Amino acid sequence: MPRMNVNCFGTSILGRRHAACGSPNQDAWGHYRSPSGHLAVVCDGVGSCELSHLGSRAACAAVREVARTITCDSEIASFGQLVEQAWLAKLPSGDVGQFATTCLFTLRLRSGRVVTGGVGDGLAAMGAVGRECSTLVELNGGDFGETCALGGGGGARAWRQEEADDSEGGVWALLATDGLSNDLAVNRLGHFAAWLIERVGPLSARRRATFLRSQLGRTRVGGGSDDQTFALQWSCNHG
Amino acid sequence: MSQLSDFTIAAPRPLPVIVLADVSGSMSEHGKIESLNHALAEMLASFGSESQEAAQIHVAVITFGGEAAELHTALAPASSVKWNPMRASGRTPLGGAVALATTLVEDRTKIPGRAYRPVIVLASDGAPTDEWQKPIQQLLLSERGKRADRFALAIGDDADKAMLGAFVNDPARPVLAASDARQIQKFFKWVTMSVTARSRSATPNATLPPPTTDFVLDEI
Repeated sequence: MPRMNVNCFGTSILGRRHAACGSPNQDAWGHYRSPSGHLAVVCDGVGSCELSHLGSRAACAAVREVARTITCDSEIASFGQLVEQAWLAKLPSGDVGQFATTCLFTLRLRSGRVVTGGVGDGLAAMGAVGRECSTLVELNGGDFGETCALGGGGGARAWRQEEADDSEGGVWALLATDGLSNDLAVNRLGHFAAWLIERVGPLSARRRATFLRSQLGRTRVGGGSDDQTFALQWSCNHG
Repeated sequence: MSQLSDFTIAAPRPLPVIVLADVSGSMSEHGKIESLNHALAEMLASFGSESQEAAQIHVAVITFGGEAAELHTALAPASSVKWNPMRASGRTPLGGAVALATTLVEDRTKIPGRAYRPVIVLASDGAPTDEWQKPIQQLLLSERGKRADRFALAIGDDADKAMLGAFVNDPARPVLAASDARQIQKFFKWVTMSVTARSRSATPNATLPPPTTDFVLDEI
């Protein structure tokens, strides 16, 4: 079995619309290690829902909880349902719809199997380091601002996920909320991942965060009005 | 310059406006086609002069007259459209026009996933001469067509109000009526102002509100 390093980083910045009215960032993200493998999660609270910033954080925690205990293929196949159950259990009482959130994840199991997907709009993609082409997970995202989400249209029924074999290493997975993904050039995702890994990856966590915030702020994709969040996870084979 | 811009799309997100314009023979009477041409030319000029920081208004015009519906103006940024006036003649093949609109809205190469919610405007002064129920049903059942903002204008007394109501399919959004040519322009001024306001707003996906009192025509 080759010795593998799995790396992950990401960032989230508050959109101008939320900054202007003092609203919290409705996106949430995280990356975690567990006995089952390495996990990254990116969630985008649905804008029209009052408590979606809590929903997105609860979704990150729910995915972490499910991924930590996952042991067999049938659990991977029903990952969306398990996450939805765990998410519902974490919400305070009230109208579930007010917590609606998208939920994207990538889980690299110890076996080298990478599972990536989720529910809602945004972007979930996988590719191989050094190659231009990438695979987009066909998310059931909804159109024109009507988003499939946990607690909203579709729920776990709209969950989509795909797998890749990373037993030799070198697979990356990119997750992004629509505040960023709407303006990412899909045919440049491989280059984007390579730039992140080679240019941004070696920076210290602190410098990386500053650099990414400055890059996102200056690009002002989508007019910069929406929150922007992404996470990239990739593996390196060290023989 | 951000290095991230190497991986992003520079163009602003499109906000598509699709106009279904009746150009049947009856539109040549009482200055209706002249008024419609004038209204659409003004709308295009106004859209074209808008700032495009967050959203860029794209316009397509589908005409239905003669024997068949056709794409009169292909979907393109309003600022790049050269308006070619429409001529009125023949029958009212509205079903074909709605089918063309459905195909356009569902075409992700023409209206990408990053586009804002499209607006579809139907203006007609008569009854369809082709099968229209099925095309309207297909539009309303289609994934993206059902989410589009739909507005209808009944021009004159002979317009098929039931058909226009079926196209809008929203009790909160009445079919509007223009009793004369002047009101056609008034209606499109309202469309222009509303779409422009959406394109400038922080939430361009929001649906258009019904007309304010200044622009209320004779609701049916």
